[in-house]
Amino acid sequence: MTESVFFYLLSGLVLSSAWSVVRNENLFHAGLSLILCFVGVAGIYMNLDAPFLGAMQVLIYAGAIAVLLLFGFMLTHDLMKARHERNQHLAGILIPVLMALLLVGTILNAQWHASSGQPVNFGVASLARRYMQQDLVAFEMVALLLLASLMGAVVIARKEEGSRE
Amino acid sequence: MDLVTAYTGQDVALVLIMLLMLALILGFIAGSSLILIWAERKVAARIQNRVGPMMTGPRKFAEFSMWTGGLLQTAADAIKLLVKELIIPSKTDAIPFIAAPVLIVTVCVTAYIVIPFGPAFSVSDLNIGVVHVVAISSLTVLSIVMAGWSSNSKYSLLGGLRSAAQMLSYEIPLIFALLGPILLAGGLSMQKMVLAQREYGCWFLLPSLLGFLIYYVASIAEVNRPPFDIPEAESELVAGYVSEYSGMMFAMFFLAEFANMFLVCSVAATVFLGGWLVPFMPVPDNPTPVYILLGILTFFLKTSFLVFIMMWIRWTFPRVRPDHLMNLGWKYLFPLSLLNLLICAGIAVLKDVYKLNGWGISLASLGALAMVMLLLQVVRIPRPDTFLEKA
Amino acid sequence: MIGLSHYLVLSALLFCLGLYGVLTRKNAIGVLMAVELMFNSVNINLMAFSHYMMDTAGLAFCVFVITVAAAEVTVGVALVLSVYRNRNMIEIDKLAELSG
Repeated sequence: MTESVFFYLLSGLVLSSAWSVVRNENLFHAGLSLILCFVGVAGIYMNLDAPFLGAMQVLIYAGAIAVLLLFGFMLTHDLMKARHERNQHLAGILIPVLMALLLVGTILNAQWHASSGQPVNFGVASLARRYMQQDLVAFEMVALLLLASLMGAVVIARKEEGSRE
Repeated sequence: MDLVTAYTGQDVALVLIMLLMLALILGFIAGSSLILIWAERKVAARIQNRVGPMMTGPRKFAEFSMWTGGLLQTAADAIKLLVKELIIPSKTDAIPFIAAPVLIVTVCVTAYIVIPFGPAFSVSDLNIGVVHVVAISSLTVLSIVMAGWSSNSKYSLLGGLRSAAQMLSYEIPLIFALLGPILLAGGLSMQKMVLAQREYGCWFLLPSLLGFLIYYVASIAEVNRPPFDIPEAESELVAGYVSEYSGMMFAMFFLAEFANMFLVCSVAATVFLGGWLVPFMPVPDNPTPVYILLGILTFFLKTSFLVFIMMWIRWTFPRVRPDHLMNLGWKYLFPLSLLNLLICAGIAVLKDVYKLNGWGISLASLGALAMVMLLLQVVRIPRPDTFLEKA
Repeated sequence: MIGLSHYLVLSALLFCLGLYGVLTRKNAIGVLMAVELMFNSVNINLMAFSHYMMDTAGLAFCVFVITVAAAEVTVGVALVLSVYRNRNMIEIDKLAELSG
């Protein structure tokens, strides 16, 4: 009962704030809606018995990624100057609507088999065990990717030699 | 009584109890902030050879009036701010402008729910406790960015930009410093951290001394206090992101600053200084009422000590330059926090293999520290300013 | 009662909203925001399957996706800043020299 109430509340929050992210003419407000959307998705994870993932969602998405995007927006815009041009009107509406119809139709028509397995614990310990055993290579690759992106970001965003004031 | 069970379970009453608890925390935050602000002014006054506020409050006994005399000063200030007019400048972006101070207090209250004030004495002992505190308080930067941008003033904007860069950078060493004790405790719950320190027989301060120092420095930067207060540097940016705020909205930012300071210090006290464990006293398995009271007292003493040091630092050191701040965070604290993680992992293994007791662990950690100092002597890390000239 | 398909429909709708944003936004930061929406919809999908199929694989994948998204945004914002410094604008439809 509580699960469904929370599900509908959170879905309403997520979808309406996502609508605001893509439609809002003020990009700063779009960024704030993005954060609201991330927090809503974190709530969805809580509803799915994964509190750790919810906390990670808040920490990384809402606390870092969205703030980084807002930071980029603030650096690249003149104060309070909103731009609201759009392009590809027809394709932009047609493709997502068709895709939504296709996906929702498929999902509602498909037969989903519920698993007969034992309920698993989505705690941190089981996640950690998984990373240190079966997914070890992928885990190391992600670490490498993070290092590469860190260095890449520094190299790309750095000013040219000698242009430092 | 767990937030997640309250959330997914069927009991609505549980949710109501949680709301009541949140109201209690809000009251606690407001009360403790009043005392902390008074303490800050008194400490500042002592350091600057003044007496500080001494008129508003009980002055019956002449010998104590210097200390008790200013006790009600903060309350008087709060009442003054409450009755002041709320000014929303006409060119601001009204919704984020109003939402920012509300958000910063909300975030603070939410982060408080896992703090263990005593044995079995926390609002909700989530099993993701430490991550919860870090995740929720990472939303503080959002409020500052909102305030900075929506004020439509160049000083506010500069403050917001600086704080976004600073808080994102310092979150990384902060979390990595906490990883060492998490590894030792083998769990994320705050009560479990305290109990693990009982089991180890020594505070986690010793195995991860480096981590404690990194956490403390990073948390000063995280709550934007001097010497890392460049987002609100008053000599450069008026008041940074709070420049355009007045009345109660300003008071909420002020309240959140002190509540956040208490929060980071109480996390440090729990994770590194043994939380409510009373030193030199065996811990009963089922805590007696006396022990619970002593535990709460110990917790507050440890936290207040850390808060006092933060105030001491504030009134002693000059402000750090923004580029030096970034250098310190990324080139020193971050690698050192990785080193700390390595030391903690080693000590956890040693404890498991050789069944060390508290003294053994202390000795091992001192040995590890000595090795680190030796290593730093050999490697010779250049100072920040030489780094800059080469760049 | 909430089942797997509820979460899947939510995720599909979120994905399509993100797609709409990617196609119609002109500002590069706006496009990055819409891409994040799509990442999130994928995560909801993975976590829903993980929960209903009783397997931690989806959870593990979610954490990977979050990590990759963080890396992607770091480089993306760095690129946007670099473009802004050279061209003084970040409208992506005007950055079309290489399209021939």
